[in-house]
Amino acid sequence: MLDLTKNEKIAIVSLLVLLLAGMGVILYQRTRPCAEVTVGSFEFEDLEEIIQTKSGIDINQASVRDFERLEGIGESLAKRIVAYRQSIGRFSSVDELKNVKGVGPKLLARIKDRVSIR
Amino acid sequence: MSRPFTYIVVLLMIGIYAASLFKLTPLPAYILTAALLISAAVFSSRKALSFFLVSIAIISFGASVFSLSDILPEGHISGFTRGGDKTVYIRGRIVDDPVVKKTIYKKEKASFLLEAGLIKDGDLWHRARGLVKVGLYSNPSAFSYGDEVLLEGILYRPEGLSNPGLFDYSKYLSMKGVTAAFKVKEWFLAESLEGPLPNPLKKAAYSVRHAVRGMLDRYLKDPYRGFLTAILIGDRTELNKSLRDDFVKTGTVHVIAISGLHVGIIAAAILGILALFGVPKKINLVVTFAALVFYALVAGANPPIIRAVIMFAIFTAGYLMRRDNDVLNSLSLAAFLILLYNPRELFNPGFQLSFVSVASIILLTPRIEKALGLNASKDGRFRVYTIRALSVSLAASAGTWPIVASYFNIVSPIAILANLIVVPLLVLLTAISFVFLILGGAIAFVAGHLAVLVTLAQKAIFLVNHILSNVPLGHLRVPSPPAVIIILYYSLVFLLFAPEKITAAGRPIKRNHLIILVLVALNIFVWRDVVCPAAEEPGILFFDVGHGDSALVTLSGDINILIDAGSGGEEGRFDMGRNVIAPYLWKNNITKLDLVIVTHLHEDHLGGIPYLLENFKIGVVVDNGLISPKANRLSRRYIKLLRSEKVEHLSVERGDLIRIGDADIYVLNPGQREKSLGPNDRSVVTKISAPEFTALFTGDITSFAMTGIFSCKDLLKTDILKVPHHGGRLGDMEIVDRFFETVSPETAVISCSSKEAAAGRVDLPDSKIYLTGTHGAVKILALSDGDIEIIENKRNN
Repeated sequence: MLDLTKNEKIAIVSLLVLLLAGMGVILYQRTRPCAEVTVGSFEFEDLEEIIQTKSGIDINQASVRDFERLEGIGESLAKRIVAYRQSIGRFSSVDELKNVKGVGPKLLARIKDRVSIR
Repeated sequence: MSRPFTYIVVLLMIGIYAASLFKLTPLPAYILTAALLISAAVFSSRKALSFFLVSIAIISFGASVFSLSDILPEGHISGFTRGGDKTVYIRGRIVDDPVVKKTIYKKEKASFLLEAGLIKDGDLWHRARGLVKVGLYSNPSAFSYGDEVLLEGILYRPEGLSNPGLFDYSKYLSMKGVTAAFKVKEWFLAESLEGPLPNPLKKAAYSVRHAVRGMLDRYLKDPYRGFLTAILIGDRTELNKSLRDDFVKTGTVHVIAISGLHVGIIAAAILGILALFGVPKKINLVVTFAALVFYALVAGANPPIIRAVIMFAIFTAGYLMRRDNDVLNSLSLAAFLILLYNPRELFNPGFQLSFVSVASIILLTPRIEKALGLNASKDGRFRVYTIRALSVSLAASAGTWPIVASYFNIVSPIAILANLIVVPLLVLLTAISFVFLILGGAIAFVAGHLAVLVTLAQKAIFLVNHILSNVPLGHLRVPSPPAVIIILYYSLVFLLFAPEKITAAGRPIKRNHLIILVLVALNIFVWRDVVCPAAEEPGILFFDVGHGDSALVTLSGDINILIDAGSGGEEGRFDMGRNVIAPYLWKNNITKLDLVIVTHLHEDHLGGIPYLLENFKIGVVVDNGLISPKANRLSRRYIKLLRSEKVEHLSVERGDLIRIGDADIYVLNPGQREKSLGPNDRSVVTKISAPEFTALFTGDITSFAMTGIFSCKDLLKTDILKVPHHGGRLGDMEIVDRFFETVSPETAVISCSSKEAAAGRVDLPDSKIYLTGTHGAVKILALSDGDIEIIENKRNN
């Protein structure tokens, strides 16, 4: 339909083939595998002691969100703790948390070293 | 000249495009247009010169139309958006059909456009004009088109995410003439405001729209309801996203946009029925036209449907005046009218696709038919139909793929086949749906049965489409082609299919030489990419994902590491994987993620991961091993996909050292102690130590985990810090400050929403701080001289 001469035909067809080959190579390049990942280890200090003395949230300052971060305390319980704190003014000891409905001795034992009064 | 409007509209487009590049004032451009036209009249005896002058005049006219649309009138509402969080009052009228949608939090939200009339900013009421995008939660279904309301709330500039080269919501809105948004606190219905009254035709159209929506809500379930809502009344908000993905992959997504196809079906139906009753053809055409205008209003009047209705009108007018009309000329007139009304449509992908596809069908189909050896008078009916359909499909694909590749980064060879199957099925579905709406609306007990039929037809389409979308090499994700390749391609198509007339006037041999020249040029550009592929520089891109985290680390040797993927993962939630990260990766020719680090299971970090797992080649996924499928739906989906996609999965803890390429990645958290803390403090914290830079990614840890990380004190000093937990609620600030001091980064990036950024974030006095909430996406490039370069993707305010 293009009224091509023989030379033009050869040129166009070979250029098209070359073009397709180029696109083929690009497609092939895209199938490269992912880089290799290896896992080893490195040394770090044991700071467990520092953590024991320095950790914990201040139960007289903590927000609902802060309480929620503690294992075993969900949103509703956290809200109850804050509400209780508001009703009594402030906690005088960590054990007072037991007065909040839903905080039993088991839970208290679990969170005890993560809470404090400053 | 046989196609005057084609000539005019092409020049007009050039003018609009030119004006979009420079800032012009409209008046001089108008004067220039007039001057050029007058001189053309003066030199009318010299044909070539006056033709040239008229051409320049049209270009200049296009530029003036665009620059005029750039100017906001006095008292425009967007002038009041600088007030910050101040409460203001607006009175105005609702000018579109309010959409009520359930948000992911199960709250109902209405959104609509308001034409402002008055605004109270401070103590005074001011006159105001312009469109405001309103969002509202209290009693959202109480509104309809034409209502006058008094709103109390916050007026602000609409803000989208700002990522390099990606969709910009605020730009999209301004293209539609909306430059202000309003968050409603309280609202009241107001009475009789001066100003234009609502259009009764529009009101009627919207009540039909509501009736249709009501029928669909009542009788159909999702995804069938959402799909039909899209194809019948043009509301795509509740279209299932993965369903839409299938249509995108098979190149048939155009059937979801209401366009010529639907207009054609309706026109054919009405014309046919009226002809059956013996209505004279002239009256029939006029009635059909009126019905189409009404339907265009029902369906939301987008460019494709307006284009189709205008073309039908021109066809009708031509018929009534007994004039032959040229289809390409009518198409051009339609484009001309739309651009005159809103020149910004030129930059709307929907506009471009709609017009280019129809133009290529008109121009290319006859040539392709001929090349495929169609002989309409001799061949059998089936053969004629098949070749015709195939030619149309080929023509549309040949014309539109560069546009689709540029915007959507996909090329679908399968589209040629898929359209042959899906389009007839869709015609059938649309026909059944109209029967369902009309008959079912009138006779209730039929509706249920017809709804089953409609659902079945959709099931068939979805199934076919899903199968076709999984054909190997049926679709390819591609980077946006460079402009020079697109131009070369279109000139090649133009040369191959140039009408014989043009070639007959010149020398045909010359055209063939031109074809060879274009082919040589195309070869040069393609082979240049083969020989020296463009490599990404090593560095880090912190995406703008609103509230959430996502960063792409590029290392030398074509290694890509993704750390978190923003929110998403559930239908109805904006998915950062689908809408931000994947498009960016495709656009930039990144086809694999060698390593993906999921810091923790929270939705603003994990949400975008599932989409990437489904759609990308991923080497290894690393997390803390504490993501339980029982935690929530998202975690369950994530764990399931890890298995079904057969991705290598590693659980890491403090002390693990990951090696990839030339980089060492130290895992600093969680240790044994942190594993019993909350999800945030269990985040995987990694220090990436590459030859060019070091970076510390901290997930959402707070002071609790920081205490533990001090056990890796020697590793903490870092060039680039991703500030933990979006820069807020970090816990004990004494520990946090000590942590920042030890890390002492040169550059710190806070990944947060614009709202959080405005509310204030943590400060690191000795570092340069970037916030995605104010700066948009932040790209940090490691330069070869050891320095870094920072590219902010500035938000446009």
